Amino acid sequence: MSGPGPGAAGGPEAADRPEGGQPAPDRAGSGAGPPGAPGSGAAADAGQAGGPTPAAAPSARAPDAGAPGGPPADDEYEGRARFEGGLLPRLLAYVLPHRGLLVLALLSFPLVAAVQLAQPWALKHAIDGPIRAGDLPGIAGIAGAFLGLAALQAALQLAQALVMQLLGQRVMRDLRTRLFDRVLGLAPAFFDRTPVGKVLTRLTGDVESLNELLTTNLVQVLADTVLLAGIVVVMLWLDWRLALVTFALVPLLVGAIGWLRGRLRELFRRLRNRSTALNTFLQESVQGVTVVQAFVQEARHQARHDALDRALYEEALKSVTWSSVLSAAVQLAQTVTVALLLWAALEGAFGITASLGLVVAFVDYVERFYAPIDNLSGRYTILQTALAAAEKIFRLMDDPTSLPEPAPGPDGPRPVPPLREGVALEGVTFAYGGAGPGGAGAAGEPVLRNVTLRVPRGQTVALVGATGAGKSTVVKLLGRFYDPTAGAVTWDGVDLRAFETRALRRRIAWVPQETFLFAGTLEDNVGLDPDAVPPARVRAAATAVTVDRVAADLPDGWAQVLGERGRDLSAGERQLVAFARALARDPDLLILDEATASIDGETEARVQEALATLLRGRTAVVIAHRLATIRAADRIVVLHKGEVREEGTHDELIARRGIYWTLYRLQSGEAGEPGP
Amino acid sequence: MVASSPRPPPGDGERGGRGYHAPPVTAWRRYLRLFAPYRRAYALGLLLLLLTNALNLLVPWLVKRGVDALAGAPAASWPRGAGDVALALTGLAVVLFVVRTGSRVVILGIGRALARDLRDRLYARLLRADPAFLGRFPTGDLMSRSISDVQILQAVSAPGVLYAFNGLFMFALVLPPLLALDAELTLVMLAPFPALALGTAFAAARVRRYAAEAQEATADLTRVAQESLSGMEVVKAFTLERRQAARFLASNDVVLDRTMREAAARNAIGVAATLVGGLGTAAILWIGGGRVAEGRLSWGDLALFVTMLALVLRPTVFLGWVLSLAQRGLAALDRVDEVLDAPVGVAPPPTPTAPAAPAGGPGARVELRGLTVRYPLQGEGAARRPALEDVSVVVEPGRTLGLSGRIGSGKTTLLRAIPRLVLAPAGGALVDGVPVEAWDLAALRGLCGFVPQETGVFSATLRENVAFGRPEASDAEVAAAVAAAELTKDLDQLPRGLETWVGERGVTLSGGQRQRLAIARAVLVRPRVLLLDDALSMVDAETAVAVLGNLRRALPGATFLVAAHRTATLLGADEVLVLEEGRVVERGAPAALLTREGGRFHAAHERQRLQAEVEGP
Repeated sequence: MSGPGPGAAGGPEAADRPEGGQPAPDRAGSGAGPPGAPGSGAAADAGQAGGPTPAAAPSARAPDAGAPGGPPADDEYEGRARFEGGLLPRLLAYVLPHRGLLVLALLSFPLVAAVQLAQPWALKHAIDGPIRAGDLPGIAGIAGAFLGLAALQAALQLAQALVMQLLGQRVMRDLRTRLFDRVLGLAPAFFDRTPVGKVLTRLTGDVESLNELLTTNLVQVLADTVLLAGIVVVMLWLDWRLALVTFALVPLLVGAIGWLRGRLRELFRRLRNRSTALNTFLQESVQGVTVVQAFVQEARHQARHDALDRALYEEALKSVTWSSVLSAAVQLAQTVTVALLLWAALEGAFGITASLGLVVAFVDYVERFYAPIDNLSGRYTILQTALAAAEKIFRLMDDPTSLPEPAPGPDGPRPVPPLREGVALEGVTFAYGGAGPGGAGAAGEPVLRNVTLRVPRGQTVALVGATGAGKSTVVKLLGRFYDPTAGAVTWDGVDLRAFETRALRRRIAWVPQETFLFAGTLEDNVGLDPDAVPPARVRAAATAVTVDRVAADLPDGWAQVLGERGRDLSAGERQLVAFARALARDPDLLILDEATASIDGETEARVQEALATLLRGRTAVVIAHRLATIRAADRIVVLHKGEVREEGTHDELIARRGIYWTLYRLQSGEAGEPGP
Repeated sequence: MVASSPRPPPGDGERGGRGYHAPPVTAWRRYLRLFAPYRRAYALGLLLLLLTNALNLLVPWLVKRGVDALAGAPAASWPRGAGDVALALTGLAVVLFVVRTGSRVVILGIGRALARDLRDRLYARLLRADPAFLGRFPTGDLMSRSISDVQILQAVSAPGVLYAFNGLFMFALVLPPLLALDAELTLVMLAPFPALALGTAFAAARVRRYAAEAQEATADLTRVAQESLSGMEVVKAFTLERRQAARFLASNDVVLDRTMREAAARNAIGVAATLVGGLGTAAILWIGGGRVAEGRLSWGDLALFVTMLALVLRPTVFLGWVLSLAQRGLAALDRVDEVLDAPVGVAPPPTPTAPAAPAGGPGARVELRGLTVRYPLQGEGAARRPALEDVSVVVEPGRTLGLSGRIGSGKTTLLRAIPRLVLAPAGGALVDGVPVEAWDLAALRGLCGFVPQETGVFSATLRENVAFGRPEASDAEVAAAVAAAELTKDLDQLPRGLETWVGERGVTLSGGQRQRLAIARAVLVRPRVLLLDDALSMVDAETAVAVLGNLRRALPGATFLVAAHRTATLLGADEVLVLEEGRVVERGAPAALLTREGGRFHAAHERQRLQAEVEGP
């Protein structure tokens, strides 16, 4: 009768999960639901304000349900976790490091429950004691005590909620960080077969669902259980006969709530499917509106939209009706219980002799009794979703795709010596997705067949060939992104597999075709790793390839923020940044995939000059697209369909009138308009 | 996909979330206009709600009777005995159950109806979209307005109205009897309530703000993760694993911080309610208890105060929530109205002109007269060059016009101007001698078969996708169209042939399959003008030529306008226009163009031939 029960803390959360299970993905949208709303009925409607994320709704979840080729099955998106052994212990392993918080939280439950339960009891004492006796100072004392209890309850509730939230958030942070570290260690082969989006979903959405479980739900389930148990015990202790009368309706109500909840779950699932269907249709219409107009199908599409919309509306009305019934039913049971209570007390049935204060207190207990029952019944689905998420997270964590590292120990990884003789591919055959290390599943067509290629120290070798000839694969093997299916890649004659991969890569610098800019300043983007490259060397390298002029042109100079949310650089400037990155590392081996993007004349000249600076006296493998670069190479290797077909200097190859000659004509003379 | 993690559009959560500000009076009028169509349902729902509240107050009154009876002071009138009170309470509970359910169903149903009607209207507006509209509202934005903003308005119109009136009715019903019993006690008890309502409104705004910040932080976290994943090769090549992990951890900490703030603000509401409730009860005990001791209040009166306090506490919190929601709803209303009120670019003429002399034969005569098209700009000023500038050409019925040029040269704009899919100046394009803007829009588009480069596949069976423009087409006609587009062989690889479900949530078609599907779609409507917008770019060269031959046979006499980057596709045309930056820079028969050494068409053709040679087997 004083503070709202634990429902007040749980209310907004209940509203966030309008459909009894799916955590609302868009948290900003959800905002504050009606605080303390009863966990059903209108709260479900209010929660709709923060429903599914727009646009993401149809595509965010994997559409792997439904028979192949058939229309999509109606019941998808329902995560069903198998309670496999090991899942909970593994989760617990992440909770244990924060056991201090856990203990604090567990201690707070009985405290909060006790404070809540003490209030009706204080009321009873006030009535039966000082008020009856007309003891004014006593009344004031009890009123003060009551206020104190309310304040204590408020403080404890806040502390409890925050402690649980902190616990959940910390566990999630740890889990996320661990998972991210794991993902960073996976071999490129993993990313060949797993879309980036899927990994991101594990890191964000799935971790978030687990968070739901740990913070709101765990608190709520524990709090509700403790509270319910407390109420039952106190009522039995105060007057067991009256308490039993009060409980008379409980089995009936629990049955009814269970039945209604099941029905509602089914209704909400259908509602969600209808909503997804409508949103998918809407998205397709937005993207295909020109086609709709071109084929004069506006009327038919409007009719289909309205039909889908109507179907959604009808389903929504059903769920509104049943959730209204549910919340009204709880209140019905509550009032009837009070009636029963009064009747029993007044009639003295079952030998009950209740004092006035006791009856008033019981009426209060009844009001606190039903909210936790209703809450508890709604938690099951959320638990299911969370466990399904946990399963997916741990499956990713257990993914074995990584390049085997040599075992540490006496014949463990060798230090990678500075390059003295050169690097080479010795009879290398390679297929993506092969059964070799780091790959899984059936091997595809080989993209390299018995390739032998030597790069002596200090020489620049240009790789030339049409799209799909295998040039990028060669350089990826040199950086040990993959291991060859057959043959070996060697460093001064030693198989790369004998080295620790990261140590090897520190001796190599790589200039990819598209310069990838990280969100950060220009200086960060050149230096990349302050531990590996001291700032002074970064500046020197940048100046050598005229990145200092790029900085001078930017409003914030070296501190200019680049990347997704920052300013973009032109294709030429990006190239220069990539050159500077490589130069700053002073690598033993340089791998360069020349940009194909057209660069304006002035920058082009700068890029060419910078490239010359970069290549001077360096061991380099260059996938060359520009004639000037090709001609400057010490040797040209022509790849065709995964094989080395021609090799030599520019003049030798031209004289041969083979593939290189055709490529050369394509590159030089007729590189006109129009064309990409 | 989480990857895209759209930030909440401005005007939604964020802007409104800086704090609670009471909406101006005029704002309420906008809501009245929005709700007006549902006024009968509202009247019924609110009547039921009033009844619910009134009956609800009988509960404590009956309990008071019971307590009075127990205290040995039974009332003079019915119900007085235990059985009577219990019976009355039970009956009341049943009636309440019915009325309460009714009020909720009616009012919450209004919200759903309002959302449905808004969505229908938004969709109707979308169907009249032109490039300017689509440029102004990108897909994600339009989706968010149709989903999130409509949901906010649904929340305002149904639970919002429900809770607002529930609170108002409660106070209207509770205050008079309490004031009559003991005005002083009532006022003391209720003194903190206005503060509770406003405090809730404020806290709700704070919760939203922190939730937006938490979401922003999560988006940052996602960005770091995405950056590491898409730049994985760089990360590995430069051994940046530790650096990226450190960045991820830093973002992770920001998420934690913002989420904690959000949790604190959220829980503050519950804490405030608990405190206000405790204050009220303490006041009742202190003042009321004293009065009972003095004999000025009965035991039952005291119980009544305690019960009433509980009855008005939650509605007060809800009132605060509604205030904050209503403020947010105004921003949503703005965003919905922006779409509904966006100007319509391409409109059908009030009095369409039938073509004076319908061209004999199946083909139509297409003519462009100095056609210039400028796309409306978004705040860039008028300095940008037109997408198409001063293009004149005549395509006689049954002839083929080829369009060559790189991306952005104006090919698409030219093709789209004919069925009026872009807004072009009057008199620039004519079909059968009649300016396109004078044509009945449906008739004009009905005679054109338009095949875009990137075509939409709708979630439906393949057959429905092919028969998109003519759902009533016979199986034989569909099969013929599929064959003309060289799609027949692909059907064997699909699990259910033509009945295969495609599109989102269905079987994914390859780019080439999608393009040929779009061609089958166009053939089936038997167009008099076929517009192919680089529609075979993802189909291999041989198949492309085969498809073009099929099309000629399937649509004898139709006029073809074919835009293609691949020059080989255009060799069968009667005339080719080479476009550059919206202007015609070369024109002539393809054979003549090929002999023009140094010409653009010739150069492109040579280049593509060599490319094929190098990449060939």
